[in-house]
Amino acid sequence: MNASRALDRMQSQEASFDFDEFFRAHYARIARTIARVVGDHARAEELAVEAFWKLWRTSQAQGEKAGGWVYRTAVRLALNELRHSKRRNRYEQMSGPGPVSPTPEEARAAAEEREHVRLVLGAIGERDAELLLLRSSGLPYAEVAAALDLNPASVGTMISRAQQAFRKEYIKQYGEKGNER
Amino acid sequence: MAKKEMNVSQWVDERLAALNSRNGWQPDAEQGLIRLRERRRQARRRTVEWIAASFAGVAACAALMIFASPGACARPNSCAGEPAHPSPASAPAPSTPTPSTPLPAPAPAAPVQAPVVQAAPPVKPPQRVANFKEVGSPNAPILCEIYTDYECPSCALLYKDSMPALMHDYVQTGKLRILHRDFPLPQHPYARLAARFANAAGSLGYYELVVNQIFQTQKLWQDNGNVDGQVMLVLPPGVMQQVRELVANDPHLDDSVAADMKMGISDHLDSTPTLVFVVGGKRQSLTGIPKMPILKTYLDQVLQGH
Repeated sequence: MNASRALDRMQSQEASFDFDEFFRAHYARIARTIARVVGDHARAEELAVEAFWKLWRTSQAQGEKAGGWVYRTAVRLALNELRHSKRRNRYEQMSGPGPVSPTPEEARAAAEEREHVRLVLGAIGERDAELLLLRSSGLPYAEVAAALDLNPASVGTMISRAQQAFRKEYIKQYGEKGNER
Repeated sequence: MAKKEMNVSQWVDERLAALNSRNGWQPDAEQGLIRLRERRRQARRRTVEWIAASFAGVAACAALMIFASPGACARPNSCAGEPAHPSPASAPAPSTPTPSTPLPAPAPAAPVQAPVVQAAPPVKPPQRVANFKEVGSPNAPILCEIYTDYECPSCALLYKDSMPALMHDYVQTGKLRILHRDFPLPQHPYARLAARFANAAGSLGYYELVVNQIFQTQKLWQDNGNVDGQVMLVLPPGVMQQVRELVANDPHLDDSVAADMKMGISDHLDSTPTLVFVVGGKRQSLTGIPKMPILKTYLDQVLQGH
C-alpha cells in the first residue's frame, strides 16, 4: 500500500514537472549568473546548458527543488570554471565592458575591477562564493537557502560572514582602494 | 556594529556589481533548449550504440566459443580426423637428441637422418635473438598467445588459413601482438623436436620462416621425424649448421617450451590450437580454429571497446 502510494506520488511528480517549461523560465537567469563569474557570454550559455543537462540526468532533483538545485549546480560550474580555466583573459577581451564605457581608461579600470572580483571569488571559500553569487544574482534568502540546502534562518548570518570574508580577501590582495570609489 | 555590517554589505555589493553585464546581452533560451535537446539525442545515441556494441561483442564471443571448437588436438587422446599416429611406445625416436628435456617418446631406433655436425665450414658465432616468439607492436591493445603443437593438423591449418589475414589486418596495423607458445602434446612424438628446430632457428632470427616450413611440411616429417630435412630447405647452409648445433647441444633450447607448457597448464589448456586473448590483463581462451569473420568481429569489438 505504502509502496503503491509512493509510486503514485513519484509518477505524479514526474508528470507535473515540465522540463522545457522549467528551462525557459530559468535559463536566462542562470546564464546571467554564470556570465557574471566567467565573463564570457558564449561560455556562460554553454555552462547553463550543462547545468540543465545535469538536472535532466538527475531525476531525483526534478520537482519542487529543481530551481535551487540548478542554481547551485550553475554557480558551482561557474566557480569551477573560474578556478581552473586559464582562458579568463580571453573571455574578458571577448565579452568586454559593453558600449556604455565612455573612455578607454574607464574601460580598463572596469575590466581590472572585474578581474579582481573574480580572483577574490576564486580565492575565498566555495560556500562563501556561492552565497555571494546567488545573493547578488537577486535570489531572496529563502531561495538561496533552498539552493544551498541551508537553514533559511541562518542564511543572513552566513551571507554576512561571506561578505566579510570577501572584503578581507579583497583588501589583502588589492588594498583599501575599493573604499575610495 | 549594524552600521559597520551595512557598510561591508554595501561595499561588497558594489564590488560584485562590477560583474554585471552592461551591454544588454540576452541569453537565448530557445537556442539553449535546442542545444540541450541535441545533447540528449547524442546521449541516447551513445547509449544505443553502447548497448548494440555490447550485444554484438557478447554475440561474437558466443559465436567464437560455439563455432571455433572443431579441429583441435586434444590431450591426451589423438586428434580427431588426423591419421593414426604411432603410440609413444612404438614411435621412432626423434632424429636429434635433446639434452635438457626428454622427449615424450622413447627412442628404440633412429631411422631418420641425423643432423650432420661434421667438418662444416667455419661458421660465425650465432647472434642470438631474444623474444623471437613475439611479433607485433608492444603497444598493441590486444595480445594473442597462440598455443600450438607442430604435429597437430589443426595448428597447421590455423597457420595456413588464419595467420596471414591476422598478421596483415591486425599485427601489421599495430592492433594485435602475437606470442607463439609451444604446447607439444604427449601423443605427438616429434612435436618437441620440431619445437627445438623452430626455437633454434628463432634464436638466429629465422623463426617465422621455419615455423611456417614445419607446419607446411607437417605430413612429410610427422611419420619419420625428419624435421631437419624440411627445415634445411629454407635456411641458408651456414644458418642450418648453427641450427643443428643448437638443436643437438643447447641445453636451454627447451626452456621456453617448458615455460610455455607451464603457462598453458595454468590456462587450463587441454588441446591445440588454443588462442588466449589478453586484453587489459584479462585472459580469454578460445580452442580450435576460429572462423576468420567471427574472429575479426570479436577483435573489432574488443578494439572498439578499448
